[in-house]
Amino acid sequence: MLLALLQSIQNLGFFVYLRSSGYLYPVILALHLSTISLFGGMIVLSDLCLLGWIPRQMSGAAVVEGLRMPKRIGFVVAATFGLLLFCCKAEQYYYNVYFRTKLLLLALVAVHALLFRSRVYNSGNEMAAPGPPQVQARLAALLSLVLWAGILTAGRAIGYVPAPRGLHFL
Amino acid sequence: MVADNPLNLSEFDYIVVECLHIAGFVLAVGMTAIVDFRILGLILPKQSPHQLASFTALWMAGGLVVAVFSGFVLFSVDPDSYYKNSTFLVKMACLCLAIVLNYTIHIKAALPGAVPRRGKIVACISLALWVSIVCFGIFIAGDLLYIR
Repeated sequence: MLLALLQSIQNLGFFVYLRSSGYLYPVILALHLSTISLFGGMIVLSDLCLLGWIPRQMSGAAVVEGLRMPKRIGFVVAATFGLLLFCCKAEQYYYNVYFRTKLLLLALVAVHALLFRSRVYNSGNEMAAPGPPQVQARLAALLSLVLWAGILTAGRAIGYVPAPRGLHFL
Repeated sequence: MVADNPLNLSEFDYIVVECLHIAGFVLAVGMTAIVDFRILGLILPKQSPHQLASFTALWMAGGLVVAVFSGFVLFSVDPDSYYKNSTFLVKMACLCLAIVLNYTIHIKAALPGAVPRRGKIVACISLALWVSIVCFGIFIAGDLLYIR
């Protein structure tokens, strides 16, 4: 059922065109990676604030709060390009173990947000309090860095899995 | 190839080095982009560009060192084909330009007394250069900028 859906998505005229174009597919891949590069630093900076590794004159709480919306915008743009890439080879990606790993790690990022949003990210006043950051804030930052590094690695590894035989490309 | 690559990377090693390369440039480009977006007035109005630039400088440099060293290892696997690849050569030219720009006018653009309009132009050039370097890195595979 899911596989049949993926096959029909990848064989829509638009995605057939993207897949077979020598230029458009790499351009979308480049835009996916460019967006990750432009916005990845914001994730690192937020996590450095949560770890307390920023100068005293900078307000960690203000930086984390200020980067929230830009990070969301970056994620949506990167995910949109990623979705386009996926739709071009949906059936092939379905079988790809690293693509599945990447999706699992992205799901864990969502769980991370649910777990820590109210406890760490929304408690700006506690973060602004003097003294070392809370254990939970440090844990949230470390987990975030590990998850995103894993997503980056899994994303790169997707391309190394050879396409299985008998894919239903038009 | 004139000589065998002494590193003799297996496919696994190669992927590890590639991941280091990506992590390095995401850190370098991402930290520079934070300063550029701030100069353009798009993010973090409560922090000054100078404050952000002085904090991110070390992380940017760290990411750049990792990206350049891992990039050199990737290059060493097949230098002949990279040397003949127009896209690679354009990428290297843009990289040199971006590094020079980063440590000259880009630093000045984030200083407290900088002229805002000039700073914004520098931030736009910096963003465009770094994004083009990332894109050209992808385009090396098919030598999409092939120059006859």
